[in-house]
Amino acid sequence: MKEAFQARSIAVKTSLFHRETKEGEVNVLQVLIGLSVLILGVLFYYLFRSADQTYFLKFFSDNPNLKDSLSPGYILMGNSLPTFMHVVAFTVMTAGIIARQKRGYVSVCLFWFAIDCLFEVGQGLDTKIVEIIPYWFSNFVFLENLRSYFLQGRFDYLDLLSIALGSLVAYIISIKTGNLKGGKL
Amino acid sequence: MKRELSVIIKFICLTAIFALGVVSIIGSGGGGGGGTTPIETGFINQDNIVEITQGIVDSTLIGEGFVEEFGDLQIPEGACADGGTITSVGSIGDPPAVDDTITVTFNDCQEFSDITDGTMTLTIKEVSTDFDGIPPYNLKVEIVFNDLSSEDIDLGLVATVNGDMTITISEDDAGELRVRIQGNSLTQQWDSEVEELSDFLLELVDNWITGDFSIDLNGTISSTLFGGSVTFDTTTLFTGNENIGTGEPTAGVLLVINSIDNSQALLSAKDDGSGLEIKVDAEGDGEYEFEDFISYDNL
Repeated sequence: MKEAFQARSIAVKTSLFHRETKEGEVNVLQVLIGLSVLILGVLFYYLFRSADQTYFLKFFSDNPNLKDSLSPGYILMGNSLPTFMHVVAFTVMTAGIIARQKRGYVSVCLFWFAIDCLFEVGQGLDTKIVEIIPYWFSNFVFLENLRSYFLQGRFDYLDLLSIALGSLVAYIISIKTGNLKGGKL
Repeated sequence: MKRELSVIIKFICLTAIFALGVVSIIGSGGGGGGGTTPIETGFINQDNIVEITQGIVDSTLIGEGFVEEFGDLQIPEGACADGGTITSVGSIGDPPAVDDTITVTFNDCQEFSDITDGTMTLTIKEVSTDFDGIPPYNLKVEIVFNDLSSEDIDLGLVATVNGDMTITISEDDAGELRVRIQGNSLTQQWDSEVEELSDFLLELVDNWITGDFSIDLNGTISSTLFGGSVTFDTTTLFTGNENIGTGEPTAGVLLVINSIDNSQALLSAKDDGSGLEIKVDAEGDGEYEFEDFISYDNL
């Protein structure tokens, strides 16, 4: 009886968390991991960045901006932490929807690595890249910040490093969770 | 059918994720790059127009010292008064001839509290026959600066110049002195402040008999003082008379534009010679939202 109960319990757990993802299914676990990291990233901005320095925080009425309460070491690390979280979140989410095999994960990692790197390197080009941004962008929410992003943003090698590290971590997460928990779409 | 629906839903999800991913980069300002907020106004605005105007005026005075001393092309050589040396290669004849060239090297050359270092090369490009500084004459000199620095040891200030410019000076029998300064790139640095003047053409016409003068300024200046680059163009010649009123321009218009966001300013000389009327179109939409005045004394 006890053995049968244990076997049933294992079967239930397997069905919930360890069922192999089939071709064409969404890896819900990966999507949830990505979303969680994304939410953590947003939380980080909300807690440690000021609204006059971060565009999307203008949509929040009041954020605490606790950056000054952090030690210098955390501030230094924290500067590149959101970049790391961004690449992890979006790589794992994308992998959860389309990728199954190692090759697919590598492609997704490279894709988001390239996107993040392009934006980072663009900050180093400032005026050269801004000249090709159309003026009508300023009429749209978020896009209106693109010129400021490149003009006021600062290129940082640490950001590039965190993008590379984020891609690697995202790849490992994707591999580890690749065969777990699928959900049909 | 179910499979096709699944593909469509996935496509929508991927598009949304991609859009969210890009938007979140733009909206955040990105990691160590620092956060950003949108530029509500353009680069040229009411907060920096005075600095920009001062930067243009300061940078366009670069040839002033040379023009004042142009008659004396003899460079002192040997030991400097308070230490260091001046050495030269080549020479400029008396009278100067086309292609005469001299490279002067200052080696910790100290005179009073000023120490000069670096090199400067002067080449005669055009010269009138039997040039002696008495009108009528014409002289065109190319000057190349190579880390030419001047340090005031009392104040601890170092000014360094790099780049090139060509100065053309001519004067006729009617007392009209014409000075034309043009160049590709000239960088001036004062400690941490750097100004680069590029593709510039400055022309001053001054009649020392009648007192009439005109000024034409065109070029691009980028400066750490105001943190960017602007192009300036004289749309109406600045004119005035040295013997009337303040002796400053009483007419003339300078258009200053930032090519990236089209923000611009119009600097118009007041007819009483007191200063410049400033109009700023910070949004670059053709409408001037801000007006101000800056006196010549503050430039």
